[in-house]
Amino acid sequence: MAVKNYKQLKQELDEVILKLENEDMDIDQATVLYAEAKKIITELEKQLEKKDAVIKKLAGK
Amino acid sequence: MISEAVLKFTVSQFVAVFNQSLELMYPSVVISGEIANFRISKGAWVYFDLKDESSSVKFFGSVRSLPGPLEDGINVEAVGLPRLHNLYGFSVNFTEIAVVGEGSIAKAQALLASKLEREGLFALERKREIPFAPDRIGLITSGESAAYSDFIKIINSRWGKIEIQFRDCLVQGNEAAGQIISAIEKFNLAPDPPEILVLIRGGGSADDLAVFSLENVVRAVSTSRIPTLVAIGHERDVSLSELAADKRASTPSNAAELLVPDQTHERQILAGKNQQVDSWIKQIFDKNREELNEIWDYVTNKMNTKVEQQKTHLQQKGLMLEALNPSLPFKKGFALVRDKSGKQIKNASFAKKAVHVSMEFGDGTVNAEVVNGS
Repeated sequence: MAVKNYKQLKQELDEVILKLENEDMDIDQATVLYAEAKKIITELEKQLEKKDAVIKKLAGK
Repeated sequence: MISEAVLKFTVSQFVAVFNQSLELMYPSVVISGEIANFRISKGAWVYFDLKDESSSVKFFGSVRSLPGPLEDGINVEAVGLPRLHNLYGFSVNFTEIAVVGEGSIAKAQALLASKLEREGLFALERKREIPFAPDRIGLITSGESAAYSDFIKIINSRWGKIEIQFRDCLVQGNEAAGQIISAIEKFNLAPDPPEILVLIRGGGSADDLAVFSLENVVRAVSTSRIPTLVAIGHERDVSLSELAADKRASTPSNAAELLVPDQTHERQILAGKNQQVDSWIKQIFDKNREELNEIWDYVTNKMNTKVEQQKTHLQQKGLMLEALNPSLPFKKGFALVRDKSGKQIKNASFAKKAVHVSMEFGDGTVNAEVVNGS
């Protein structure tokens, strides 16, 4: 499966958050979505870390 | 009598010789002046005069050679071939016209803007979204310019490396328009095109920036299948290419800022979303816990009520049972009388017959003899 880029992951996160904000959601569904959101956030943080490293390297050139 | 030393021609001969001479001496001229008597015939042929304080020259040419709409009063430089027409007299057949002078450039730009606006090139409905944090950008500018280096620097400092496909071109002068249009076309025809085209140029005079308001360049920007982001000059400079683009940036640096987020700012947004997600799940859990507690309280109350009811019922049964206790007569002082065989004696006549009886009291049994039966 192709690795998703920052933009795609961010869109996915926004969709999950939108679902989580549904007040009728039961706790089982909410728990699954919460886990999904956390996973996406972790991946986004990793991508930002990588970008930060690249930026620092470029600035040091 | 006319001197024989003077050359003699018929009219047609003179026209031919004159044009030959012109072709030799002035194969091409550039004449600058103010347009007067401008008109277009049959949508194809353009006639005007170029004048200055004391002279006027007629011009003729194709409407396709115009840089855009023109009118009287605009100052231009016209490139053309001077010719003496055998019927219509002297004129310059122009091949190229450039509007010159800030006032004239502004006027010509205003004319073209009206025309293109009527055609809908600047309509908001045509504007496409520019991609957020694109992976691949098509950049069109001069590689030697500050605009180029500023753009790359800001992209790299905000978001790290992005694939930038670059087409170097002139951004002012007569050859600039052709190069810019060619770059746009090549990007559009590429097998793996970029997600967005960025056309940038730093500050300059009205003449320097004029190429970005030429009709052919503006049309190339507006017909690009790839979304376009254009930033020409400074904030106050608004070229027609910027109006036709999907997005205008005020400067090349601003173009970079619009295209990619600042990764520090993105971290803050992500932290906010993280908190938002945590907050929502906590709310859902709290709501569920509250509902559970309500159910628990309800059930507990019901159970307590049931238990109390059962207790009361049992107590009543207990009292009933107590009333039926066979030991109860003993407590009242009664005794149970039996004969020798142990059979209960319930009346006095049987007791007389029994003679010897046992009497059971609450605290024990005694044997007795019936002495006086009456």
